Amino acid sequence: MIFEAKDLKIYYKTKKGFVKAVDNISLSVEKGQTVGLVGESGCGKSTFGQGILRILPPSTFYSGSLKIENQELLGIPESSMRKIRGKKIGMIFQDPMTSLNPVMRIEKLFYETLRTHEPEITEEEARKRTAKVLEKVGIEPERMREYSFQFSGGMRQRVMIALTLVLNPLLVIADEPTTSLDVIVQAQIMNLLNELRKEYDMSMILITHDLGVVAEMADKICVMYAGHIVEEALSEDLYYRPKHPYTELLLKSIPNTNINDLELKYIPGSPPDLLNPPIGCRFAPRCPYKKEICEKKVPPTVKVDKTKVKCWLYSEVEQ
Amino acid sequence: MRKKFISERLGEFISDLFGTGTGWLTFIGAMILIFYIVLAIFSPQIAPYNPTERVGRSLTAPNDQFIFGTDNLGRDVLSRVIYGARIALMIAFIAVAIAAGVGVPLGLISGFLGGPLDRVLTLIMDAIYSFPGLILAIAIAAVLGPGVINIAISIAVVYTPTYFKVIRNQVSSVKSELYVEAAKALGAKNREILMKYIFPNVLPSIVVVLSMNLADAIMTEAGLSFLGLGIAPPTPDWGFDLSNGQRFVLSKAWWGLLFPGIAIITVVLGFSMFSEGLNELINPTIRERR
Amino acid sequence: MIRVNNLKKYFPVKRTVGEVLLRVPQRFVKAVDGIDFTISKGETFGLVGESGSGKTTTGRLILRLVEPTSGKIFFEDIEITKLSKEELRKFRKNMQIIFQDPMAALNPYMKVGEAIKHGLEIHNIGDINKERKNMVMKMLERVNLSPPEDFYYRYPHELSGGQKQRIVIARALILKPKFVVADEAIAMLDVSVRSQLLKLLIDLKNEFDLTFLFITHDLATTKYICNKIGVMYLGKIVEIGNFKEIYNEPLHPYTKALISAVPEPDPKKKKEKLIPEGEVPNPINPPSGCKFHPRCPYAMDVCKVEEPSLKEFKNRKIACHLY
Repeated sequence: MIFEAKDLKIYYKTKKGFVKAVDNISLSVEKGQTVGLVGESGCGKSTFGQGILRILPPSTFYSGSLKIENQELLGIPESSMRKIRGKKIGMIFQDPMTSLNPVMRIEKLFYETLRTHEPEITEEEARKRTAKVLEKVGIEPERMREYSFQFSGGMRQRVMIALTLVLNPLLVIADEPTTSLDVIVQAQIMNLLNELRKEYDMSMILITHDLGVVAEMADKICVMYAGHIVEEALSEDLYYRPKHPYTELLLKSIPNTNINDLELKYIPGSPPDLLNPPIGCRFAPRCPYKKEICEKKVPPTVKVDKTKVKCWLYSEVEQ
Repeated sequence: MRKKFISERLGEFISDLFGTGTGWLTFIGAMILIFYIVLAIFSPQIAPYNPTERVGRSLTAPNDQFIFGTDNLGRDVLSRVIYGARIALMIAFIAVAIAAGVGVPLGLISGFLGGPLDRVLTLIMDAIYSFPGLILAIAIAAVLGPGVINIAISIAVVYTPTYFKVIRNQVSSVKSELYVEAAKALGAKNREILMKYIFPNVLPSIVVVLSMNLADAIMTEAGLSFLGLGIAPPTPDWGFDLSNGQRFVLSKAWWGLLFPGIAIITVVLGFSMFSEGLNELINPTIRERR
Repeated sequence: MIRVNNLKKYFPVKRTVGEVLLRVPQRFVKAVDGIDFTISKGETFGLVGESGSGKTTTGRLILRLVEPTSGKIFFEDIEITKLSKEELRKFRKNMQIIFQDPMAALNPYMKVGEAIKHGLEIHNIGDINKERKNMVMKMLERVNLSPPEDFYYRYPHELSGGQKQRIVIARALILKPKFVVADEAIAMLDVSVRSQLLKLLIDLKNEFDLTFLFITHDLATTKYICNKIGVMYLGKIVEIGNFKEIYNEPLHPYTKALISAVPEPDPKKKKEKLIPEGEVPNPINPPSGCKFHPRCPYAMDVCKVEEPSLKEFKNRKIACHLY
């Protein structure tokens, strides 16, 4: 196991109280595995990604356990954390425009990144490794003399991916890597990530709101709703045999490519406020199969077939 | 658990009221300002002596009778500092009212209409702005002569471009916001767009500039009267007293310099803190993020 | 109902001081470069394309929020491009727009109820304030923001993205327009909210008897609402016709690419994708000939030289040398 989060809680402080953005989440990634983390905005999926790297505001409260290669990350000092970021866990952000320093040449960007973790590296050596990794993402190595603003959106995202890969991290977190791109470019980047992950035997957490995007890539998909992981399943199981009502409804509300299927389905209502989430199951207020217990107690996570699901519908089956 | 001090409870209450660290800043600033405004309004009731009359021996050191001592003409320094607040605040408020009254409408129109009018106005304002403030104020004050209104006008001229520039730039950026386009798509008239959609969005910056500007105006006023271009003596005035007081520092009469100086510093500090905090409190989007 | 004739919009490119001195000629971004289409009453026309295709500019041109460089736009029998400023201002109640970003489209200092009411005030609909307020309340309820009293007095930042977009829809529709431009109206919202709002738009379209111009980059959502689509690439329409026919059998290579790029949630359908290389070129310097040829898998020699015109083919119009 490369990465493991156990009973992770990430709350952040606001004027009105603690926002329970990530509440008791457990998730693991095996070597070479791609795990998709899917959810709507405000469900805590980005907080989870940033929480792993601990790049959230300092007042954020963490508890539980976060392990990369059996090394515990929670509670270690900031100086040790800096050695983890980039080297052990790399991150690809949504907006490559704001996450690449515009006043540095691409080669300098790579050199600085490499030097943070390998202080002895020479510029020559850095350039060699940059050229190699740029080629892998489909950028001519000569372009490393340019600045990031000279690249188009898709190219910039490729640079971002290369910058993550150059350190050969154990785990890559991709936070909505294609959301700000056009459909065709989005497909290009997904294809690229798919090739790279096979070639580098990469372990990855792919955070996205788009079930279509993860389905094409992820081995395992975790569906997040209001700070909880409500279902964890293999991609095929999730699509063909969704267990949690939220997953089921979410899948139905995605427009498919079948032109004759014109019935528009949606989930009524909106996600709860994470300052004061419902006491019981957080999906209960919108759930069509709601029972009495759902509003009183948080359901346990149970295993049904190969799927882990957090729902009272299945806990009774077990009893 | 121990009992809480009253000051602690008060602190918690205020902290709840404002919720943030900057709230404190605003609060302290506001307290200082209220203190000086009360001094200014009720100076006849508060001041122990007539500030323009000889009430004791010249250059008496602070004692029970004259807490802040007396100046070279035997006038009570405390009373002069209290009455000084009156002149300082009055001139500052008038000056700022004139500067905002001229700068804000011009900035609104200039930024919204753009084109040749905008270019001409910007050029004029930039020309005024490029003068060092105090020098310009001195020149105008010298031409206009002493008097409360004249001093206020000389200060207002210096600050009008500040309002103009801040408002003009804000308006020209707000003008391209989507909600302005939306208003246009609804069929709103230009005047309505300006007053209902653009003005409310630049108002917060006006308020902030206003309160920061007050601090500056007080300093400029003090500077002018320090140089003898302010209100005619014997009217009590911090700047004048400061220049008068520094003549006697060598004869160890430090009080004539210190107390007007402290008054200027604290009131300026009060305005700065208040405007700093106001800046964050007034903006709903910033408030939302906390 | 809406007729667009040879509509063009060229934006001048700012020249540097050096270029002005060297007399480099003024260059233009041809955001919309001669497009024609008609939308019949009650129809929904989908305008599809990537960013930089000119689809958003087209929407704004039709409402004359941007002045066209040349071309004509007709609304029923009225030539919009000929209306004076004051006439246009009054005419605006007939045509409205729903923007992509609901946060940016609402004045942060105006209560949302007032924002909706303002349109009524501008066009003198309703006699007294109370009557207008009632109309706003009804509209709020119609866009499923109930109880309406709860929402009327709130500021935009107190609402969620979906709720804000409902306000924007209410603001546009309270004027009872005949024609509405929806510019990526649901693109910024979450999946579940997106379908809710799409449903709402479809219901309102039927209820208010609206004609829609539906601008989007997402082909998957067009199937629920569009009768007709036009695919745009770098300021030109490359394929236009009946929605179903184009969707079932896309002919232009660019349309094919757009359709095959739609992410598919079914993991078993890992379809063979036809994804063109590269990205939309810089519109200041568009390629010669057919603008799509550098990325087109079927490019022939003629494509590099000659720009194809829109020709009738298989019940639609298509601009491609293949046909």
